[in-house]
Amino acid sequence: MGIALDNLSKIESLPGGGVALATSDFLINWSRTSSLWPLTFGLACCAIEMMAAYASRFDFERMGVFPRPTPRQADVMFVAGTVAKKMAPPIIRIYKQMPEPKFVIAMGGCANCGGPFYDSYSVVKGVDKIIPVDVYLPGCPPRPEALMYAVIKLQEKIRKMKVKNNFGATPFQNTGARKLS
Amino acid sequence: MTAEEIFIKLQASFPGLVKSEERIKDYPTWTVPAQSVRTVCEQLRSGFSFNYLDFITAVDWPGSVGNTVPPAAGRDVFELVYLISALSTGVKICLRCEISRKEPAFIPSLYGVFMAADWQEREVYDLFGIHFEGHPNLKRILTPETQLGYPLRKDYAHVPDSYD
Repeated sequence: MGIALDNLSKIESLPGGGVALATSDFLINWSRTSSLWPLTFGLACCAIEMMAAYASRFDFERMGVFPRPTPRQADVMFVAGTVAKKMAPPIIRIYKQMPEPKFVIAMGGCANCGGPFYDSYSVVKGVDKIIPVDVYLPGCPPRPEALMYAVIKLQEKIRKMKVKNNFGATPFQNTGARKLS
Repeated sequence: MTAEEIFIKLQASFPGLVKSEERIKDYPTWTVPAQSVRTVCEQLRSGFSFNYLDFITAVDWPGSVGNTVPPAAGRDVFELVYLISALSTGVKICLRCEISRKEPAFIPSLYGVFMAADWQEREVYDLFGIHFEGHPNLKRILTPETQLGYPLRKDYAHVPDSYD
């Protein structure tokens, strides 16, 4: 049994055997929280902070956040930057290409609500107008520590997910923030 | 050859070409009749090795509405601004021309004279609604196809869409 599993309180080993017992919710949520693979995808200046978060100083990979170059392998999408109306259909498209369960972190004021471009003719007033958002992260731009806090919040949210609710996957909701548990 | 010498040579064949009262930054600024902007640019390119178009942009002067300070007062025009360079000599020349603000606004395209004119003219068309005659693919380039109106016009009124 590896160190990681030994340290988990909710897993019990049977005496003398190589068998471990745990609830399926716990095991599935543990694996999901420990390998949140984001899509390599940035829209504006927030993407610079996101790249810094992936690099060695902040090193998100120690939390299992490991950027993937294709939506087919990604679990979470950091919407890092201003969502222009011209960019909205591609975002919906790559969101649909991500496999379930999928999560969205709206990073920065622009992705939350349009930010300083609220009165613009060309900016979507928040990415939650087009795809469901799990964590809203304010800031202009948020520092990598703030993005780490958003990832931790998302992990807390995932830990409350239950298999019996909609098979553990994200419920298909069209708009607004989602309630997963 | 300096900009002054080029101006004297060109003015012989284009009497409408005059020096503008206002200089844009420190560039030699000439006012060109809108209908001859393409031929002036062709001349500059072939005869004076002006081989680079820095940018095309436009200014909306919406008549008396909100413009009380001269020289803008009462001008009801679109002003097109072209900046062209001769990369070999480093001379830059700014061309301005005015067209009527009445719909539809037309000006000859520089497509085929300068490579850069293609997308630049599409951008000006997208944001100001100025039609460039002779451009083979004049459609919106920056805003989505669902965009109504031309956003950088002074009288643009935004109609909320599904993303607002």
